[in-house]
Amino acid sequence: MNKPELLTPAGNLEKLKIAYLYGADACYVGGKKFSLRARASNFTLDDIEEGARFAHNLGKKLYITMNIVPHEDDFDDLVEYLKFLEKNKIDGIIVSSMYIAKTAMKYTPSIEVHLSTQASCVNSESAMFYEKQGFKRVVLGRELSCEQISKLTSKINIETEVFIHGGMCTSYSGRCMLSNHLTNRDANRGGCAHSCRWNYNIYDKEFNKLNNDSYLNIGSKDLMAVNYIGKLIDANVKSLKIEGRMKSLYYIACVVKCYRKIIDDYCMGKEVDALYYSKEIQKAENRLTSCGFLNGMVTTNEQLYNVRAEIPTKDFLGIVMDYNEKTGECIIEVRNYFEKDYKIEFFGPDLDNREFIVDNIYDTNDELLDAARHPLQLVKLYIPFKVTKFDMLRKI
Amino acid sequence: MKIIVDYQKDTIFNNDIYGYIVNSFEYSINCFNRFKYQEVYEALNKIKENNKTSFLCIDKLIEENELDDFKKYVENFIGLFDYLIFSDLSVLNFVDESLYNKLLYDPKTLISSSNELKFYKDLGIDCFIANELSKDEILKMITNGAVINMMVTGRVLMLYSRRPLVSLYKEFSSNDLIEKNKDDSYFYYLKEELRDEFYPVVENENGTFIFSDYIYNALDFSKEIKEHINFLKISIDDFKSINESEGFLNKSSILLKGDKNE
Repeated sequence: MNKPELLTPAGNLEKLKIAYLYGADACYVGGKKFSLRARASNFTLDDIEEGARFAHNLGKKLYITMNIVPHEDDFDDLVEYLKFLEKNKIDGIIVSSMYIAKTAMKYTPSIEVHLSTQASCVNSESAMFYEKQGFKRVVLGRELSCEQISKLTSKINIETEVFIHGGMCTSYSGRCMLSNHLTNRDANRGGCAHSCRWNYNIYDKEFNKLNNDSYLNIGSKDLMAVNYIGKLIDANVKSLKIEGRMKSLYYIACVVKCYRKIIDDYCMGKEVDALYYSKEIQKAENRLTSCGFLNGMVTTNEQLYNVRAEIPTKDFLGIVMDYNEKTGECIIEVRNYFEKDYKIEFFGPDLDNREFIVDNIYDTNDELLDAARHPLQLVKLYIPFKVTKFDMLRKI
Repeated sequence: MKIIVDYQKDTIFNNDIYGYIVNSFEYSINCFNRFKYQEVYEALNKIKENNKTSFLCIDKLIEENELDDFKKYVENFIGLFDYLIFSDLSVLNFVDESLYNKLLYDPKTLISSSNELKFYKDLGIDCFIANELSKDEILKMITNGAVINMMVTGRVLMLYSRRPLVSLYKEFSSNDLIEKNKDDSYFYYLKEELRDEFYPVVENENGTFIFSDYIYNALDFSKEIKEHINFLKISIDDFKSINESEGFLNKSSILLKGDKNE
């Protein structure tokens, strides 16, 4: 059976490491140049070097996004940058520009070139065109159903990558200039202002307003493909991709862990409890989700109407930094407020959810605290079961 | 510099116009002046009778389920028309390379540098450049040797979505005031809650299209660089004219860089 790669985003080194530890086979990150999601805490050259080392020591892959649609002045140091990536054994780059792709193929042939979803490849003939041009993989457009993906992959040899979770453009990616026209921020060069999530009124040809009770929203709910992983694996998709380089550490851990388990379970012939994993993901998800186009043409259920796009969550309480099995002493790096008698839950790459009622909280000098209230503060709890460094705790 | 313009049913042929674009009903994302399969033949005949150059616009993105019909359509018309204006790169896989000189690539947003133009030129394909380029950027492109095709006037497409955004909203809101036109499309204006502009929006069987509130006018600039332009496209629509603008010609969109330290 085809066992696809689980590909996850990382906005910084800490998230990268967590993504790998929680089950990613590969991560994609943006450098400071040539990458969209310009504000996604993109990686410095040193970060890329360290990230690549970390990935390869684990036998995992690291891809670099270079998916801007470049203008005339955006090519400075392209070859130099590519050679730096090659030197660090970067496994692949994700591009939408044919010029960047061809430059990489010419100067750094050891780096795989993957076609970005910005190019909106939605059929087998265009996938074959990209294969002839030397691409190793195409990231398909998010407008395809599982049925269409299966039909497409049956006709081609080039690898396919499909989004399974995260934000969805309402437009064909790469074909949207809404942000550019409304705010002068070019989505194809990292500046998307998410103008599709704003509120619009609708008017007729005589400019009479037609809506009163609700705005006409055009934004999409986020994608969640928990129920479709089996179909995508059966369709021979080579890489299943999570979106969200700007998402939190906690989100990355939760979402990656769930999809890791789903893929492993399905490939081992186990029944996948999709409802359970949906609920697990909802613990970290701060947006409404839907299946996007995976089940066919979108309905009102896949659109966002009259809701805030993001709902802040404070459920993430901290990360285990150390644990002494003999004493049960557990050092935790605090991320959000908690106090004695909070009902919490530990989870980790190899730890299924374990509930726990918080008892006394101490600082690292063994002084009793009334609460863990300072983000990044180290505190001490005594835990009666084994936890491991980088396990996380959340409020339930 | 050759001016080409959307063909209309009541087109009066003009000596200053080099060629006419027939927008395919099935495969063009133009929302007006579209022609169904049989009508395409009639339009083509009219254009040929008037000794004008013929262009067939098939600039829709083609999903896997549409591919077989699309291929037949292209294979049928490519020999009949002088040029095909396309956006989906599947065309370059199934059309014989000997016919590449009939193809004009118009992805609307993706051709924004001379390097990108050169890639397609090396394949034998000419392209339309993006509408969101400044004069400086276009001047740099042509300084680097590029010959370009560009839109000179018309509404600029800001958003191309596969989603039926107007009818979904109608369904969600149970708003009976929103009604289809006779041709089964929706044609309205959107206004963002904090802005004063009215953006034309059309939904049809090919998706939803949102346009600029202004009519792009690059006529003066195009005259300055006429020796570097091959085809100059005039797009015709049914939207109410409100204002004209040179769009991005006198401003640059922003390239957001991740960190000022690097």
